[in-house]
Amino acid sequence: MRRYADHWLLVLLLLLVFPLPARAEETVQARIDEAPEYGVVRLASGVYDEAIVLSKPLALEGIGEVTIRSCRKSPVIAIYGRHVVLKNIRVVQCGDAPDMPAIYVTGHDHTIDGVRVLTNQQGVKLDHAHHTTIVHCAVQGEKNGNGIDLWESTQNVIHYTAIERVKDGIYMENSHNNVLSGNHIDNARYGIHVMFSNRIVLRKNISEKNIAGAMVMGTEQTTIEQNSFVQNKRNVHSQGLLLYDAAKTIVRKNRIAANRVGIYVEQARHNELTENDVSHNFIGMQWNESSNNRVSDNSFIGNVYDAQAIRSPDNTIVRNYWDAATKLDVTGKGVSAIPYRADPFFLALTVDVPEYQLFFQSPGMIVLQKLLRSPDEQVLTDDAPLMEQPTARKDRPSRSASLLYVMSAVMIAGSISGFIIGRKRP
Amino acid sequence: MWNIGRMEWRLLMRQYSSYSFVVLWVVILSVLFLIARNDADFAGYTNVTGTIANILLYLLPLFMLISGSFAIAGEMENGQWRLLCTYPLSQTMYVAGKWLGQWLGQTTLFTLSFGVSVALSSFAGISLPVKWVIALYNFSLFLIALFLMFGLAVGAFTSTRWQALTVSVGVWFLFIMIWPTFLIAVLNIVPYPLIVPLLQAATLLNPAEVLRVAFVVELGGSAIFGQAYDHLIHLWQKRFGLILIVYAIGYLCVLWFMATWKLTRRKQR
Repeated sequence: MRRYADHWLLVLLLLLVFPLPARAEETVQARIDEAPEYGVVRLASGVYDEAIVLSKPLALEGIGEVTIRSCRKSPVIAIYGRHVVLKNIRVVQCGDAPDMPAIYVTGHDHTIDGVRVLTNQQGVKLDHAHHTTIVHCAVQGEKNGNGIDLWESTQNVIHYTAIERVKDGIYMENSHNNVLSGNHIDNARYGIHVMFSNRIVLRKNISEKNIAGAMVMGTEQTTIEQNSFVQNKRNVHSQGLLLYDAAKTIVRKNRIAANRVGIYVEQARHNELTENDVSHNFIGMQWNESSNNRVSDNSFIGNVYDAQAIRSPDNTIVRNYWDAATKLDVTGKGVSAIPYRADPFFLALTVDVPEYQLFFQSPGMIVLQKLLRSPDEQVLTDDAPLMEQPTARKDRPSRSASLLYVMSAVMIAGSISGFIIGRKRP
Repeated sequence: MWNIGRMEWRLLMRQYSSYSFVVLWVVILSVLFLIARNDADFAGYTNVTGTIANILLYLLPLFMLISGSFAIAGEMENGQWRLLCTYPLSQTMYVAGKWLGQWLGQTTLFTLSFGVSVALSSFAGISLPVKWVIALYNFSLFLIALFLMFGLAVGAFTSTRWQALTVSVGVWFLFIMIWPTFLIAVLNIVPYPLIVPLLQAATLLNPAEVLRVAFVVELGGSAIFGQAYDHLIHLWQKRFGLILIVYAIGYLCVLWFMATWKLTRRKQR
C-alpha cells in the first residue's frame, strides 16, 4: 500500500509542476469561443471528434495532421458572419443525414485553404456566401452529395481544388460571378454543373471520367476557357460539355477529347465556340434547336461522327478544321473550296427508334445515307473548312514496334510453313 | 473428312489464284494501315477504325462466300461430287472437310498477307497499337470462318458455279450492303413494340453485323450503340470471348446442318 501511496504523491507532484494536458477536456469550440475577434486558434496534431461553429472573424489553423470529425446531424464545421479563415485541416463527415455538408459556409469574405474533406454526404456548401475563396482543397465523397455546392452565392473563387467520387463536382444554382479555375474533378456525375447563374468563369479546369464534363444550363455570359473535358463516356448520355439554354457563352481553347459527345448544344443562342480541340469523341459536336451561334477555328479530329445538327438553322459555322473533310485549296489562303457537310440523317433516324443506333457506321449505312441525303437546310455545313489544323498538335505517343515485328514474323513464318507443307508432293 | 480437308487445303495452296489473293490482301491491308497512320491516336474505336472494319466487311465476306460456294458448286459441275458419292463418305464429313481445308487455306493466305502488311507498315514507321492489330486480325478470322461456311451452304443449294456466284453476291448484298436499309424498311411496317425484338433477332441472323458489333465492343466503343443496348452489351462484356465463340460455333453448326441436309437429299435423288 505504501508503494502505491508513493506513486500517487509523485503524480500529484507532477501535475502541480506541469499543469499541461489538463486542458484536454476543453473542446475546440470552447477555444474558439474564448478567442478574440480576428484571433488565431491553432490546433495541434490529432483527431478532434466534434462539430464546431465559427460565427465571428477568426482563423482556425491546423499545425501538423489535424482531423476534425463528426457523425452528428449537423455540419462538421459551420461558418457564419465574415472573415473566417480555415486552414490546413482534414474534415471528416461520417453522418448519414441526407445532403448534410461537411463544411457549411454563409456570410462573406471567408477563406478555406488547404482543407481536405472526406464526406459521406456533401462536401462544402456555400449558402448565401459571397467573396469567399476556396483554394488548394480536396473533396472526396461517397457519391451521395455534391463536392462543392453553391446556392445564391456570388463572387466566390474556387482554385486548385481536387474533387472526386461525388455527385456533382461543383454545383451552382442562382449564383453569379463565380470563378472556377485550375480544379480537377473526376468520377463524378457532372464535373461542373452551372444552373441559372450568370457571368461564371471556368478556366483551366480538368474534368474527366465523369458522366458529363461540364453542364451549363440557363445561363448568360459564361466564359469557358482552356479547360480539359476528357474521357466523359461512362454513361450513354455522357458529354464533354453540355450547353443547354445558354446564351452568350464563350467557349475557347478547350480540349474536348474522348467523350461520347464532345459538345452538346441544345436550345442555346448567341454562343461563340472558337479554337477548341474536339478530338476522338464518338460525336464531336451535336446541335439541337439552337440558333445564332458561331463556331469557328476549331479542330475536329478522329471523331466517329464529327457533327450532327437537327432543327438548328442560322448558325455560323466556318473555318473549322475537319479531318474527315475532303479538302482542296484553290486560292492558297488556307481555306478549302469544298464545303463540309455533316449530315444529321443518322441522328434523325434514331430519334424515333433509338435501337437503330446499332447501325452506327454499319457498312450498309453509307449506302442508305447516300440514298436518303438530307435536304441542304437541315445539314450542318462548314462553307470554308480550314486546310491546316489551327490548334497545336501534340506529339504522338511512341509505341514499341518490336512486339509488332515479332507478331508479323510469327505470322509470316507460320503461314509460309503452311504453304510449304501444302505444296509438298505426297 | 481429313482427306477432303487435306485435298482442299493442298488445292488452295497450289492454285495461282491464291497468290493473287495474297497480293490483294497485302495491298489492301497496307493501304488501310497507311490511312490509320493519319489518325493521331487510334487505340480505341474511331472514324478511321470504323472505315477499316467496313472495308474488310465489304471484301472478306464476298470473297469467302465465292470461294466457299465454288468449292462445292465446282465439284457439282465437273462431276467430282457424283464420283465422291460412290465412296462410303457421309455428306456431313464432306462439308466439314471442305470447310476445314478452305478455312485453313484462307487463314494461311490471310495471315501471310497480314504479317507482311504489319511488317511493311512497321518498316514505314507507322506504329500501330498491338491491341488494335490483334482485334482486327481476330475480327477477320471470324469473318473468314463464318462466311466460308455460309459459302459452302450456298454451294450445296446450287448446281453450277454461275448460280453459286449469283447467290453469293445476293447474300453479300443483303447482309452487307443493304442490311440497314432492308431492316429499316421492313421494320417500318411492323407494330412499334415488335421493332426491337425483331431487330435484335435479325441482327443475330447476320454474322457480319454481330462481328462488327463485337469488334466495336472489343475496342471499347460500345457506348456508340446508345442506351438501348447498354444493358445487353454490359452483359456481353462479362463473358465476351466465350459468348462470341459459342455464337460462332452455333451459327457454323446450323449452316453445316443445312448444307449436309441439302446434299444428302440430292444424293438420294
